[in-house]
Amino acid sequence: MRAVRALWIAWTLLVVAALLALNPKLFSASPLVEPASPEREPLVVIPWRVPPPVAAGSVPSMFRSDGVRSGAAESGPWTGKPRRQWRIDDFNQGIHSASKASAAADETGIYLGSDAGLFVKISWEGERLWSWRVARSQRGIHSTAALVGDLVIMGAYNGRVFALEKSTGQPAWVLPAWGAIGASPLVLAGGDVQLNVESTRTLDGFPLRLDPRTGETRWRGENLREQTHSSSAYDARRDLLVFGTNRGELWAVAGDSGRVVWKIFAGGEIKSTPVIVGDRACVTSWKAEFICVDLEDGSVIDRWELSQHSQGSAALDREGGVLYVLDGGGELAAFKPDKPEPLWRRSVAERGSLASPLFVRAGQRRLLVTACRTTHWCVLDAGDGRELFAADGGGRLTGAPVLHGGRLVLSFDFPGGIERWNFSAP
Amino acid sequence: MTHVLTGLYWEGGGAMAGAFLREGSRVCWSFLPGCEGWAPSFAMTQALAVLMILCGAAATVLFVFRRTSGIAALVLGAAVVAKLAVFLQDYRFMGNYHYMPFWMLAVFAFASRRLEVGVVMLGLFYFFAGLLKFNVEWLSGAAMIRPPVISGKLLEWATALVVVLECVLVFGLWSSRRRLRRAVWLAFAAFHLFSWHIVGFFYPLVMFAMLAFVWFLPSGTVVNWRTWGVRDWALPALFVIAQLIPAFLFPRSAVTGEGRLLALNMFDAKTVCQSSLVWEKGSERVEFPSRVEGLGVRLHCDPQVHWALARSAYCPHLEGGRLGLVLATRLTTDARVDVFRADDLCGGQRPFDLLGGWQ
Repeated sequence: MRAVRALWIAWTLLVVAALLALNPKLFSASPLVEPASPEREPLVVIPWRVPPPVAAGSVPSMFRSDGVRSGAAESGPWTGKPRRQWRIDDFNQGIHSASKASAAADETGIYLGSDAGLFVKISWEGERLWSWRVARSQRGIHSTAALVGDLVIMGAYNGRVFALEKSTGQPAWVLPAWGAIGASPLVLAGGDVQLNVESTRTLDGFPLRLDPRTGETRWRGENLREQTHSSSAYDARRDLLVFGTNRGELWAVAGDSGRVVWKIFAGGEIKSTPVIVGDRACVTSWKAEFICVDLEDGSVIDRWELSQHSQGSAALDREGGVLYVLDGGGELAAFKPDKPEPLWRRSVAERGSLASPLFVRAGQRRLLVTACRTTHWCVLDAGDGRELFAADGGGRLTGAPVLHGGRLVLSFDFPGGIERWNFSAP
Repeated sequence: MTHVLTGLYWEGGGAMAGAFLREGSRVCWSFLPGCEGWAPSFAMTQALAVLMILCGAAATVLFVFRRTSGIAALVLGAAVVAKLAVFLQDYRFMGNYHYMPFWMLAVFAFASRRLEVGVVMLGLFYFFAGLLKFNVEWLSGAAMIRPPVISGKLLEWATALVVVLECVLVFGLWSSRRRLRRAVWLAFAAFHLFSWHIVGFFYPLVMFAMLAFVWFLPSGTVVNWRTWGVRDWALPALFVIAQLIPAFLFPRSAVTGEGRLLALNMFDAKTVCQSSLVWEKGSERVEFPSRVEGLGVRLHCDPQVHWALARSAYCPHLEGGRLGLVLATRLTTDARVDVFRADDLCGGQRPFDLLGGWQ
């Protein structure tokens, strides 16, 4: 009996010691584990296969051309006569009226998602090389994919981030991030991918930085308490990511940690992507304004009125320091920081326009490629907005034109399709 | 009594119990592959559940009287057969609230010293359940499937006290001193009462049904190990071995689901998981949505469930190509992820062995 009692006491001491070892904070005020909340549920990456490391020197491709989101491209001399090479009908189905994804492009082809949830790679000759259809995404794919190394990374409106092998379309990883992704991924130096995700059940979202090879989260930023369709622009000098929310806030977070550096209330919903111009970030809003803020503290430096609210992103002529905006009233205007009046303004498109223009330096010419009229796309002189060329796409152009190596890709809403044009002389 | 409770749970309180059989999908137990071929209809299954309730209730009454105890045993046997006929149809019926009563029934059927072995088995249930709680998931309170009325440091203390109750004080149930035995009994009763708002009505009531007889044991009852024969030792020994097998063969069984059918599953595994189902045919790929919905925390990340439901939902409708599944699972308090892969759901071999181990 004594032995049994001694054994029981020893066992009791062992149990207590084990409990204290597992929970050393039992007698302290701080919790053993920070309580999880529904808005901070752990992210779980689904790994299909591990792709090779991103090759040094590989050039990424992303929405609006680059990290500052300039929306600019270069081409050979402008001939004045673009030629259509091919057209694929009925790509977008008109499932919703928001802007459609733009193409990503590299030497082997273009990568594009539709509002019906189909993501494809098409060769420059117009042949469909592979396809990926997302599950349960009522609004398909809003965002424009990014190309990183051998991977194409895109977010769908079902809240999942997909990394697919560019050559085959095979999945590398899938990350269910949250409810929906309307913004486009940004590729940072070193290859990491940053994008903004949102909830569909609550008004909330957060920025995210990912390892492109594995989908593992580098950091998840603070909850925004509002949804966001705005893609981040990146200021490399300050390591700052700038993006907007549906509440009308403009946020700046540190690129290495996601820590909030500043945020301001811009006055109207921000659904577009900011552009980094020198020490400023410039963005359109639903307050029918185009503003530029100081990257140091978010204070508003420039403010211009638009004819109507806008969710298109500005295009930047770096050399001239000029920004071009197509607003919701169909007016295209040119702005220069520190100049209170636009350089010029011209009505080019119908009301309700959602598109973003593309600035093109074609040899000595400065051009704009933009949506115009109702279902047309146009080439305009960037100096005064004069129309130089127009063609009917059959549907509204709501995304952004993409130019790669003199080849122009346009994705139109239903009943238009995808078109590839030779834009300039080789 | 547990059969009555089970039947009421399946028919009424446990909405899932009816729903998943009604829709025709099947998740076979790992040791019964191909159950889709022999499972009875939903109507028949409902009839079996009703039979189980009636036989369980009748046996409870008949056992009150000594002269009807023989008939009671036969009626109880019918209730057990009816329960097994439902239970074995689908892995989603798994749960401690069935596992433990099956062991107690085995004690009743095979042991010669039923009361003593029954008390010992009950003690072992709590003891091994307590051992499963030595982890951060439980001790932090993160394992709770619903938010309890207490939180923060109070919850951490409560979870630690439960471990002390189940691993240390539990031996009081085996005491010959009635006061001590009843004091420990009351502690367990309080624990189960408190757990009601977290786990629902069924589980605590099943525990009460098994615990009840301990309260009424006369003073002086001793678990006299020296007088036990093989029939008395066999079941507790088998039970202990059954708990140890997953611990050694499948150390992460709480996350992976491997070997879980052998042992108790306690609040050690609040898992989160994500799955990707991709059908590939040539250069076209389609990601299908997961068909795992509405399951409790013990099953919602189980690879056997994901695999079986994906197969039954999609394979009959796919022509050619390959349907692959990747399931990534982790505990909420541990960043380590376990990944289950099945490359060819429709054409490949079943990727689980008899114990549910991944192959």
